[in-house]
Parts: sequence; C-alpha cells; structure tokens
Amino acid sequence: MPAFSIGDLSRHLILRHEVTRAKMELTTLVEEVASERKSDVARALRGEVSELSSLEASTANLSSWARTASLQATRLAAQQRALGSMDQMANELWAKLTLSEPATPQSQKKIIADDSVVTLDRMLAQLNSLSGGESLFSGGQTDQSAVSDGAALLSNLRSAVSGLASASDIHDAVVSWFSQPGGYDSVTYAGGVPRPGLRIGEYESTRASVTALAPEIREVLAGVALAALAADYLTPQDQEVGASLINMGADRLLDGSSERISLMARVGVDEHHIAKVLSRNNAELAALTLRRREVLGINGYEAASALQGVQKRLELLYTMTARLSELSLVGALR
Amino acid sequence: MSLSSTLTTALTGLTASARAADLVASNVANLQTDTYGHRSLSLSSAQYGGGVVINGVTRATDPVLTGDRRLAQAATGAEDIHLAFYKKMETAIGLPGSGNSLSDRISALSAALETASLAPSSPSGLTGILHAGQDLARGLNQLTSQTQLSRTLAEQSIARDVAQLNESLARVAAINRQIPRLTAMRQDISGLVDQRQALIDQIASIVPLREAAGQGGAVTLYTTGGVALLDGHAAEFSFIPSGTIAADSGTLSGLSVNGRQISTSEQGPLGGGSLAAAFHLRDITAPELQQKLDTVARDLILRFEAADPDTASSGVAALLSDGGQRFNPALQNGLASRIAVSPAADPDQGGALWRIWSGMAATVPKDVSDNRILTDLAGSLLRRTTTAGVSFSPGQRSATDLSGALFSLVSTERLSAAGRAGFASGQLTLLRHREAEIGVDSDNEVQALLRIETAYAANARVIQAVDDMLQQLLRI
Repeated sequence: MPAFSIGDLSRHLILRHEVTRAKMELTTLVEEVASERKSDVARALRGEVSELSSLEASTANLSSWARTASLQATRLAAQQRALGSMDQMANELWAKLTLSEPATPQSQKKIIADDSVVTLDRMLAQLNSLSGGESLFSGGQTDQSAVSDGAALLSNLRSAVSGLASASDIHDAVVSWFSQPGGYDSVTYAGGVPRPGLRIGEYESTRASVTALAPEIREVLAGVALAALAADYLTPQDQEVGASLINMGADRLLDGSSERISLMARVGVDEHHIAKVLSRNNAELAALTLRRREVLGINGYEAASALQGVQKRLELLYTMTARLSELSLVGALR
Repeated sequence: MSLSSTLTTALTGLTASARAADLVASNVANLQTDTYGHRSLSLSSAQYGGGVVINGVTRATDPVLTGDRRLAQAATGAEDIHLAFYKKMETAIGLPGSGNSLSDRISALSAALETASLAPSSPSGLTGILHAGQDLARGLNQLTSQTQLSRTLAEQSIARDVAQLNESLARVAAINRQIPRLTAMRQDISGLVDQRQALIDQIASIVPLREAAGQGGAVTLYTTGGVALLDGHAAEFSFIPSGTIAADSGTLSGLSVNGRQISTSEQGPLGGGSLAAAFHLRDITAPELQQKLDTVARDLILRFEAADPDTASSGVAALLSDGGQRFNPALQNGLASRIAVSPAADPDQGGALWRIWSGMAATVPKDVSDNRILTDLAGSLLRRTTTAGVSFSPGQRSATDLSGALFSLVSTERLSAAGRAGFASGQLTLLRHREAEIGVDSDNEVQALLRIETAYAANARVIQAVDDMLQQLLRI
C-alpha cells in the first residue's frame, strides 16, 4: 500500500455518507417544523412513554366526563325550570284559593275549583317534560312519562274518596293516597327507581336524580288535588265540604312552599356541584393539553435554526463535491 | 555486450511498460468497483544480462482491516434485523395519542362506555361500544399476526441465508482449487481473488468469520465462534422451514452443520451475524413480545369479567372474550390472537346489543337507564390492578397504563437496538472508508501513466538508437 495514495472511492464514500446524513436530518427537521411535533417522540422521551400514555388517557377521560357533566347540567337546569314553574303555579293558585271565603258566591268557588283542575293538569305536564328526548322526573325509566294526566289522577282519587262524607276524612284519604304506597306511587307514577349517579370526574359523580316521587312534589300535588276535588262537592247539599276542601288545599300549598324552595335548592346545589367539577375538569384539561404540547412539541426557534444549519451544511457539501470532482490530474493535464 | 543484447534489454523495458499501462487501464476501469484491490506491477532487474523482469502483479490488501470490516458487517446485519423488528412493532402498537395506537383504542372503548352510560339503552351508544370493542380486539389480533408474520419472515430469511451460505462456500472452495492451477501456469490470479473476496464478504454478513491463508493461495474460513466453514472442503448447512408460524406453534426446526445439530443462540458458535439474529428473533424476541400481548389481552378480558360478575356464576363470556369463551388460564398462549367481542353482544353474529348494558348473563333487558354495568366496565378500565404474569414489571396499572408500558418496553428496545445498529454501521462506514483508501487513486494512476509513457518513449528511443547504430554499420 503506497502511503502517498488515497483511493478515489474513499473521498466519494465520505461525501456520500455526509450528504445522506445531512439529508436525513433535513427530512426529520422539515417534518418537525411542518407538524410542530417531535418526529420521534419515543426517542425524545427515552422510550418511557408512561407519562404521555397517562396524559392521553386522562385527556380522553376528562373530555368524556366533561360531556357527561354538561349533559347532566342541562338536565338539571331543565328540572330546575320545571320545578320553578310548578312553584309559581302553586303560588298563583294559592292566591286564588285564599280569595275563597264562606261568603264567596258558589259560581266563583266553582271557577276556583276548575282552575285547580287545570293547574293540576299543567303541573303534571311539567313533571312529564323532556330534556334531550329523556323524561326528566321518571327516574331510571327515561323513556316513560313520569306521571299520568290530570283526569286519570282525579278519577283514581275519586274512587279513593268515594263514600267519604266529611271534609277531614276526604282530606286524610287524599293525603294518604299521595303519601302512602299503593296510591299515587303505583297508579299515577309510571317511572322507575331514581336514576343512578353518573361519573363526572375521577372521584366525583352526580347524585341520584329527583323523581316525581319526591315528597315535596307529592305535597304540592296533594294540595292542588284537594282544591280540584272541591269541584265535585260544590253542589248545594255538599257546599260546606267543597269550601273546606278549597281551604285545606290552600293550607297545604302554603305549608309546602318552604319545602318546594328547599327541593329547588337541592337541585341548585347539584347544579353548582356539577359546574364546579366541570370548571375544575376544564382547568385540568387545559393543563394536560399544555403539558402534552410540552412533551410532544418542538421548540420552533431551535428547529428553524437547526434547519438553517443543515441547509448551509448541505450547500457546502454540494460545493465541495463540485470542486473536488474538478480537482483531478486528468483535468489538469488537458 | 552486443547491440543485439541492448535491443533485448530495451525490449524488456517496452514489455514492462506495456504491462504497466495495462494495469493502469484495469485500475482506472475499476475506479467505481468497491471489491477491487488496487494492482501494481512488481519489477526487478534481470539477474542474467540486462533488462527488467516482471515478478508478477501485486494486489493491495490489508487483511486485518478487511477482517475487521467483515466483523462490523456481521454486527450491522444482526442489529438491523433486531432494529427492523422493534421499529415495525413500535409503529404497530402506536404512540399513545397518535390516533390509532393500542392505548387510543382502549381510551376509545372507555369513552364509548362513558358516553353510552348517559343513555344506556340508546342503540347508537351501544353500537359505539360494540365497534370500539371490536376495534380494540382487532388491534390485538393484528399485533399478534404482525408478530407471527415477523417470525415467519425471520424463518424465510434463515432459509435464504442458509442457501446463500452453502452456495457461497461451495464457490469459494471451487476458487480455492482453481488458484494453484493458475499460479502454476503463471497467470494473474488477482481477478479470482477479487471474486473470492466478494463471496466471502457475502458470507461475512451472515456469520462473523475469520479468514486465514491456507496452502497454495487457498483460504480457510472459520466463524469467530470456532465453526469451520471452509477448511479443505465447504461445510454443508441444512435447515427445514416450518412454513407458517402461529402464536401457539411449538418448537420450530433448528440448524444443522454437516448433519449435526448446532446451537443457534446469539452467543453460540454461529452468533453475531444475520443468521443467529433471525433465529433469535424467531425463537426469543418475537415470542416474548407475544407473551406481553397475551398478558394485555388477558388483563382486558379479566377486567371485563370482574366488572360483570354475573357472568362468572352462569359461565358466559364477558363483553371481551377469548373467542366467545371465558378466560381460561390454561389457554393463555396466543390469547391476543383470539380476543374478540363476545358474539352474544353482536347482532351480526346472532347476539343482542341490550346485553352490553344489561350484563352478558342477563336474560331480559334491564331498566333503560340502568347504567351500572356500563359505568363498572368503564371504571374497570381505569382501575389500577396488579398485572398478572411475568411479562411486565410488577406494579398496579390501569388498562391504558399497561398498553403504555407495552409501548415503552418496545420503544426502549427499539432505541437501544438503534443505538447498537448506529454504532455498528458507524464502525462499518469507517472501516469501509479506510479500506477504500487503499483503493485506486486516479491521480496516482495518471501520474503512473505519465511515467510509463516516459519509460516507453525512452526504451523506444534506445531501440531507435541501436537501429541507427546498426544502420551505420551496414552502410560501411
């Protein structure tokens, strides 16, 4: 081997090797700059992707919990609206019922009692309201209406009080029909057991939902139903009974008003809980997204300057290739 | 000294120049041939009378460098096989969050379960679960078939290597026999040596070897582990491929040399090249990965079986099943190839969607909003449980943690394989480069050509002078 000779292939190999390396770097950098993501995430993390994997899993979970929570929030808001309008109806009806005095003409009392029938119907309609195609107050059986209509309720109630003469007997029968098993809960209520809570966070879930079986709702319905039943007793011979039924209904509505407020407050607390969890989840989601960007993303300035560096290197290599190929004795001898 | 002897002497000079020019032509023609050894003329002055004697052609080599380069070549061949496998499996398992990875499939199933638990009986939600479950099962099935395909391909590469080994060894042996004959006839054997070097290079990436000079210009070849590949006659390797390989295929066929079984381990007598690497992949690396996949499949099935406890008493499969059956510890091999959504939940296979939310063991649908099973299933994927088996380091993981751990293991292996492959190929490049330095230098050749031209012209001038002198004599 003559020491003063260096094979042509050797130079060629070096140049080829360096150009290939620069081009590979170029491809990686272009990919990174274009996608703003590391092209080999696993290498950047030294193969340990458990953090990334838990980030991704938490992100997926949080977003599905966020969906659940906002759906549940919508549902609770609809319940709150329904309860609010029931309360309003109860208050308006109470105002009308208290107008009835012993001196009030029979026809006026008839109007008030009929008004109660209509109110009962409207209240039951509120209990049957839907949110997103799902019945709000029927517990687990969201595909069923929660309660039957007013006419059916009243006819059931009439058979429960048939044969009773005194107003207080009728009152007791109506109250127990609403509160004791075998009455309202089995005949009028068509829903199921309360809907189980839904998971809305790693450790949080919603409370079981309010159904039409809530005692506060039964109470207000009992009050309205008493006043509505009065319509049957406003005949000349029973008018005492009818008048006291109207008064008793008014009393029940008044007694129940604070319970109605507390039911609405309970739903409000649930709404607040969900809103709190939702905002916490969103904050966590934002933090996760940031962290994810940190893990996966690239430093734009760094990548751009590296790209510049590779470009310069490649240009230099090309120039060298061109110059070196001219640097041959063959050319010089011409 | 007579004029005629001067003529003869000048003639030897002319011949030597012509021969040298011939070699320059050959060298220049092979500027781009990387197996070509640079040739030069070996000359000495004639012992009797004047003139120059051509001793022969010298082929420039550096046996130590070539030997090292071949070892680097073997290492590169081996590491490339490992790297390619891990790269493929890493891509197949997928980076969490890349959209199509195993972890993403688990997350998608968990999200589908959460979404459906809002309205358990809604067909769209249930179909979502069904599809996400099938997608996850199919993902594991595909990973299994990729792993097993890698084994099949490794076996094919072994068969190719063995065929190439046998053929190249036989041809080297033939050249070994040819060389003494040509030497005796005083012919240039450089071309044959070049050819032999190229053949040995091919063998060298299959098994790492050492070349030693034998008698009469022949070479002997030994693997670095000590197996005689060529010593007088060529060794005969034999290997019978088993065809398609499945996750539960038993012991596969080994390798024999001259009719005797030989160890194929990477530390064994044939270790270090692509042959042993392919055996390692087929018998160790890929089966180990398969075990991990089976562990992941087992983990998923057991999670779902625990979340739907009624299935245990009635013996029916949970939503994720071993091909429609409950998990059976005796049948863990290849579980990832059989994992599937239970047919009882798939309307296309005669099942019913309502079983997903009512429990796979239920005989009638439950309350339309009874989401307890769905939330339990979703929760079971999040719950940190102890991973069974020895495939993973002990610890408590959720389902996505486990698939993340699987990816981490594979990508760690990939990175270290890439490191080793990078080192080996860097070394190979360096040695190739050093070897190329001994190769043909065109400047040198042109320079030599100038000298040859001068020598030729000078010798011719001598002949002309002698001729003139003879003419002078004749004119007297």
